Amino acid sequence: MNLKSGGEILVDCLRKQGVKQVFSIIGGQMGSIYDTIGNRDDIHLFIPRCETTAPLMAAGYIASTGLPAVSLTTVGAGVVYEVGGLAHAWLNYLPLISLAPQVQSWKTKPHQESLQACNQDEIFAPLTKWNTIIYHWKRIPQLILRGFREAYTGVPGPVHIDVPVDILFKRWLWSKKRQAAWPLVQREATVPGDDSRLATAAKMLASAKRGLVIVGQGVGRQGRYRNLRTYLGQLGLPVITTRFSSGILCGRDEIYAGPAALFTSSEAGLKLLKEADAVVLVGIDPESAALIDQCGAKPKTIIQIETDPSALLTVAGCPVHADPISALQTFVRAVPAAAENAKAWLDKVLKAGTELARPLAPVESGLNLVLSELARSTTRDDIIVADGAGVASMAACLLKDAEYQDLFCMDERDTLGVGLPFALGAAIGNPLARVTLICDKEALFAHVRELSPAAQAGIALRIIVADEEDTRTNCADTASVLKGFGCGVERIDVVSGAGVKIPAHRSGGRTALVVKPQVEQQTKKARLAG
Amino acid sequence: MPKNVSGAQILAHCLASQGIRMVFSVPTPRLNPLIEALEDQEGVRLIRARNETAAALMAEGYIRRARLQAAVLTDAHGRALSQVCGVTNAWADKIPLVSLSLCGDDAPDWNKGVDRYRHDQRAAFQTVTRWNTRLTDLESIPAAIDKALKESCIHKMGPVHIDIPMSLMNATVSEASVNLTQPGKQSERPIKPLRLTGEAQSVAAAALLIKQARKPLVFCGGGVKVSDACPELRAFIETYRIPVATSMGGMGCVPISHPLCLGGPSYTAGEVFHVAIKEADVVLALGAAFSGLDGFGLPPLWSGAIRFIHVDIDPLQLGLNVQPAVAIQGDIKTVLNQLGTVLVGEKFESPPEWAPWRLKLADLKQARALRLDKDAEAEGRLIHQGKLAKVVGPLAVKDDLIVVVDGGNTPLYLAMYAPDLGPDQLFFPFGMAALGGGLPYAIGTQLASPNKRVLLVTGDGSFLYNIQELETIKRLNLPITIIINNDHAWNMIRAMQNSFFAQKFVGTDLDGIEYVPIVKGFGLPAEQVRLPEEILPAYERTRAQEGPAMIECLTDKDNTPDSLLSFALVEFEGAMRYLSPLKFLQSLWLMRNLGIHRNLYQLSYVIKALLRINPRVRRS
Repeated sequence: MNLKSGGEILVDCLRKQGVKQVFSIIGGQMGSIYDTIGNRDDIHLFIPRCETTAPLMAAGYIASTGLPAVSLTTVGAGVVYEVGGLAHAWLNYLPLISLAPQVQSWKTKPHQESLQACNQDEIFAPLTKWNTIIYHWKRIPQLILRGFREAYTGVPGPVHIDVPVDILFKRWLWSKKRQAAWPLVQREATVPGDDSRLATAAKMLASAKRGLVIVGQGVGRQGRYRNLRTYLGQLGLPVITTRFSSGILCGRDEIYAGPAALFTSSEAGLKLLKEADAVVLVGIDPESAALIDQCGAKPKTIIQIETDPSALLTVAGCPVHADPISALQTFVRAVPAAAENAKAWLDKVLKAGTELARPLAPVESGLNLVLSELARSTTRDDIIVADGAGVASMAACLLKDAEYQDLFCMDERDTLGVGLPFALGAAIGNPLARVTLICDKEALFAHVRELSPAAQAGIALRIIVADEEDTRTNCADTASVLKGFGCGVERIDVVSGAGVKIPAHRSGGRTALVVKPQVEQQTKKARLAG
Repeated sequence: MPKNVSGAQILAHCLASQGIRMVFSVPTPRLNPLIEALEDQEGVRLIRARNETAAALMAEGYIRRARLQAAVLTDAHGRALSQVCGVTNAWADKIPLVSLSLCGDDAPDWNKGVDRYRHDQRAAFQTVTRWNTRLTDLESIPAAIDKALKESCIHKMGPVHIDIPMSLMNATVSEASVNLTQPGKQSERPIKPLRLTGEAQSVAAAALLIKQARKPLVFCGGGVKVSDACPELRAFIETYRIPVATSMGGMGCVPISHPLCLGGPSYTAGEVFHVAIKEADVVLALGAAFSGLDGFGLPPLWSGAIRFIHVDIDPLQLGLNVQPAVAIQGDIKTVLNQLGTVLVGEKFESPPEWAPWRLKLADLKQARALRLDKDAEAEGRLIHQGKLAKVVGPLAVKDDLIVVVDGGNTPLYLAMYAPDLGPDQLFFPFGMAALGGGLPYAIGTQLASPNKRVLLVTGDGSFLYNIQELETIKRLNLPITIIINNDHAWNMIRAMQNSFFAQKFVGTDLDGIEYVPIVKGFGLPAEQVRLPEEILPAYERTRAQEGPAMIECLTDKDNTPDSLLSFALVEFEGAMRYLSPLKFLQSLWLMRNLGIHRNLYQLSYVIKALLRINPRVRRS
């Protein structure tokens, strides 16, 4: 038995679940947590400059490493800043643990005008898989554990936990025996699935001539199913991804045909999709669900694999409640000749993917030229984050044959400017990787402040900015803003295909390339120009 | 033939005809139809922000200064949810902000299925708005806008939120089926307080209590400003010669230099405030929420023996924290007039036995001012924050500037060395005390008063929060002078780590950030100041340039405002007793290097907190 504060117990629980990185801005109520973190060297803090970016950085860390991370923001003011950032984790199926102190347990719900008090749990309810308030010191381990379980079970997603300040500060006798019993939450869910259903699915697949695999974002990012790409490769069917899931596979994977947008944006592509006679749907997300309709769902065999039974679609002819690894293993075993049989079909789809990319994204000029140059120069150590309305979809298409460790293409419906903090989170989680952010000016500016803590911490990042916003809507000079934050900046006016040189990564520093637009691209109507 | 109108046109028409003249937004292609429709409306101005959080905060600053309603408009999902910060601030500060955002067309999925874009966006706003809705059809738009604007201003004011399904923007309906003719088209929509008369019996009871009082005190909150009752308040206290204290929200109701005013708002007034709230026997509380910042009106900060007369327009505030002897639901201005009439009718005059009470408080106020002056003048390597506040205050008075304050310790210092600013001259997002509101607030307040210069005094940590809005300032060429109190730390929390965790500073240092190049990068003039006497010339230079500019003042991170720990006492009530006394003793030992005499006052609070000494238990 020894004395422990609520903050210490909380940090112990986080460590037990493998948390090494916390993204947080301090508030007085977190005093005991910070004091504990300061005493330990196995858990690290990164301090962003606004709470909105704490969950965004954590999202980048989680998505690129597969390790858990925590966003810890202070009561009231901090938490409400966090909401916009947490929405990203919610929309993109990331198991983020969001923690926040609350005012004294006897002063909250209904609140009594304490400074910064509001019903934070209610704000987070629609944006999290689960949320709670810890009202008793002894329940910290149980509820933190539950938070991790909820975040990682089924289709992953964020959870939010409020801890009142008195619970965090309370110091009392704590038994070590209790601590030993805390289990570790399995992050890679194993759901073996029903044998007969798997056999049916395998039989359907065996009889198909032109099978197609669609991998959606719901499968979770890297680390959740580490061997997914191996088994997809063994299955040998062409794989297409959705926008955000496009980095799950890369040019190294011989079965990767590209993001769905390549196929859905042209008649030829849609025709090819309709040729597929069996579709294997893994990790559904809204884009892949819509894709099923575009494939001409009705006459086809649709095999859907999900760990969460509630995610199974009604249109799926063969819904399989299993984890993708177990299911793919079964398929590979049951249909060993599938890869052989699908060879010609695979080649056709891959070839089509490459051909479709050409007219969609002319690489002779503008940012596309830089992207295609980037696609040539990347290696296994590269992590690429693409953000901004036009930039992300173009990156998904043009980088499909590139080799990289990971690629993240943000959705324009997401929080504005996710890219920069996300890329910084990825850089913190992968110190050996080379992280590149490609974004437009609007996305860069939304959270540009985060270049300041990045400079303080010496985080290496390469930024490529499409500087195409009208000066009447954004009058700042991108290059000088980046220089102000201590970035080494080069700028080019990519008008023709001659001599694009992307600056190299600088160890511990931030380099940036500002790409000026072509004249004809600068036709955006000047709105709200003041 | 009947003309067809689109949802975007109906929305724009309704907002404009209801008098919304300012819309803050971050345009996206999906918002274009609505933005175009708003641009077609005469007199509507659109202000483009660089992110949605800042857009909402700008709108809030604008509403507070202009006393006109304004709207914030954003795209859906993550972009809509980024508004929550600004909306919560408006909710805490009771500001009638109209928040509009797009939302998905499908009905929200309550089961939280895999289509995460079908989240219930409106529900996230539920707890921090006065009213909210999700539009369902075009015909209901005029009624919804009308209701939203009215709900935001009934009794207690506050934000409202409307979710607009995307497909409604381009859907059309015949003009005849929508009621677009609004009675009394407004050119703008001023925020008018509701003139609610207090119950005569309660007013008489209040008058009786005041007459019986031996040590009366007036405590006024933000409600006084909302009710536009500052002249009446001043006339009341001057007639009956009652000392007056203000809450953070009520700052500026009475000039700080007024002989009856206790000084800075709430606990920033120091010992005079604490003595007043411990010794007073009758407190006339006007439009005060008795929030945590004011110690809830309860022990240990306040005496439990006080008999409160609580006047508020919102019945939910009455009896929330303090249990008043007399509770009056009514408009402050009206009730003050009623109270005055009753007292005049009874020929009541300020009794001579109140004089020693006034004198005692005035002496304490003066002694405190002298002590603060001495602190500010203390020799130091860097500028003392008090000195900075002392330079900035008179400047604001001289040039009639609007002052916006942002940060942790920065507002405390500015309040302690409080300048004589009017009720509509000093702005601080107090309810949520959100860091980073300063820059958007400065933009909003400047847009609300086009001919005035705004002085933003901000901490270094809070300055970076919304630094992207420097672009907006530059684009609109707003005359805003930014003064950064750069102490290289999250110093409010660092001071706590200093006192309670034996100087173990974790995550509170902000060393090595160069603000001048950052601001220059945005194309704004900027300079750094290291000596107090350099501040004034630097300010004059920025004034001569007319446009925006920044001055970074390097201040000493080892200074702690003495009012901070009385704040901590409330914030951490019941929690501090778990802190290690050994660490506290160690802190005392370490603090001797800072000059322990400077910390004696705050230490007395720490000791009280740790030993849980309650100077006066609740007697009733």
